[in-house]
Amino acid sequence: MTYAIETIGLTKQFGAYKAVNNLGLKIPEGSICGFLGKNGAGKTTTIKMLVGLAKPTNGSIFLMKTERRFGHCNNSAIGYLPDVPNFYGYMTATEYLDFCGKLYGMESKKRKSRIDELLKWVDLLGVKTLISGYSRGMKQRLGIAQALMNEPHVIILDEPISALDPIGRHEVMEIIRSLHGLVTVFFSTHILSDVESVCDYGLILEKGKVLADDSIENIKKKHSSNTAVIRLCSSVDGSRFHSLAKGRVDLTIEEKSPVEFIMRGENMQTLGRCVPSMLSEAGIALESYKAYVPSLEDIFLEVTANA
Amino acid sequence: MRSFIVFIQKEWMELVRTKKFFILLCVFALFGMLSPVTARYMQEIIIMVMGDTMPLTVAPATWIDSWGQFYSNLSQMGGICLIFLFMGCITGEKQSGSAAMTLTKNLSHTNFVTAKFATATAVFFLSLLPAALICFGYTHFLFGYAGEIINVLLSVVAYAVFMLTLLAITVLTSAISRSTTVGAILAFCGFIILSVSGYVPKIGFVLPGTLLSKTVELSFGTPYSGMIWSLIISLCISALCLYLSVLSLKRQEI
Repeated sequence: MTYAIETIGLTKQFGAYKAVNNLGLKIPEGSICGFLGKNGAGKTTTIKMLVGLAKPTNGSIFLMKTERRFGHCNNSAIGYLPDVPNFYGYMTATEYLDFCGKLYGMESKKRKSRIDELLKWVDLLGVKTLISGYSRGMKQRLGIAQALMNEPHVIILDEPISALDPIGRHEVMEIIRSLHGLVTVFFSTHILSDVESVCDYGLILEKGKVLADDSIENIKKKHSSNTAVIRLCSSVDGSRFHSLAKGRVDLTIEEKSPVEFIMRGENMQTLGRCVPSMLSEAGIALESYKAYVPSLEDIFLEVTANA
Repeated sequence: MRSFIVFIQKEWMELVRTKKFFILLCVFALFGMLSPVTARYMQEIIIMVMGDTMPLTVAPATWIDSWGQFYSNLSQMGGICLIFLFMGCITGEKQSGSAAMTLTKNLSHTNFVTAKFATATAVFFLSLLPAALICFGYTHFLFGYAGEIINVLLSVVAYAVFMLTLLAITVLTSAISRSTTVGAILAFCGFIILSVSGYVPKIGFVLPGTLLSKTVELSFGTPYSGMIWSLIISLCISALCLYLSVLSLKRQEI
């Protein structure tokens, strides 16, 4: 597997405080990666180091196998959108993208066709007003367009949806979704449902350390491997089962409703053996038994609470 | 070089669209126009204000007074205008975040700083030259003579080099500061130091301040000893300021 973004022992220290601690990232090429973490977890610091705007205290960064250095201005392979994008308000969207294209050394003809293509993509084609008159959502969409101007291999977006209303958020997420397979997208956010719906790769950062780093599917599998949801036929059976399960040391039980329970054991095999035998011994009828797939939010809360 | 030119175009667009260029052009042109008029009618103005009962011993104004008035106005207001217009040239972009977006697009810190300085210089010259021409024309009209062209040019060059040094200092203070206000205060301190540098014992005559204080003498053809050195030293200070600006910006996390 080739990695679009790779960091080795990436550390950023402010005095005694480690904002990013020995971070080892391996983001597969072509994936859409959601970079999750609470406020102050170190997401923006990591992103700034990735794009060369902040100097790592330690460690190395490789983008498309090329090592990045602080202050290095050759960014042809990447596109970047900061958390609060600020454009030159006296320009129009076309002029700003043209300025970006010129900085990347793109030829006039290619620039023009790329600008039209991108403005159409982010639904700003034909908007003639100056950027200073744009709404936040429009600025964020233009921000994504400028990050894509040079046809980069990787785009790094810092909280592209955090300041937007639901409609703006939806529009930006749709744009990100449409990038799947075209470029590697690495974006930070704390809106977990969006990551769940759009990303195929997830990273959870807390206090500068990675707590989870895998495909969304694997993260969910990993955190559901010891949990099952059982549903019984009656509430009488439910209360009997609840009192039986509470007495066991190898199981934990959480009541979702009088007939539905979340069971946790050492692993799925243990659960698969213990729960049916308990039910059979007590003569309780089982309606359904299924492995529990937690939402990303459940996983996020679980791993950050344990950190 | 390509990104340098592209950034100059962007800077030019900014100075035109935000009206900064026109402000500077108008301020300089206004002084170019008012200075000869003020010099010519100063006696009449004083009589009008004080009344004709007061004994006056004011010598009749000459074309030299016109240039004196011009440089006296521009040495203060010109400098203040330059600081006000360019004090946020780098801090503004750092604070707003636009520098972070631009500097991640194949634009080096060196090109970022030098393009800003080059555009500011061009705008300054484009404002100064018409003002000097207006002053020359009005002086000639009001006094019948405005001095030798070559001498006038020499005095304009001396004034311009002093102001270029001030511009470079303003760029430096903007590059090293986190806020525009701090940058502006530092730039004003630099302006004061530059202006009084000509009075430093023994070496003052080769420092930038002398360029400003000798502009009138230069306009009527009296070059002072050490002028070449003060021009060279001023340009060296400007180059050093730009070098330090780039160095400082490169080390900053934006």
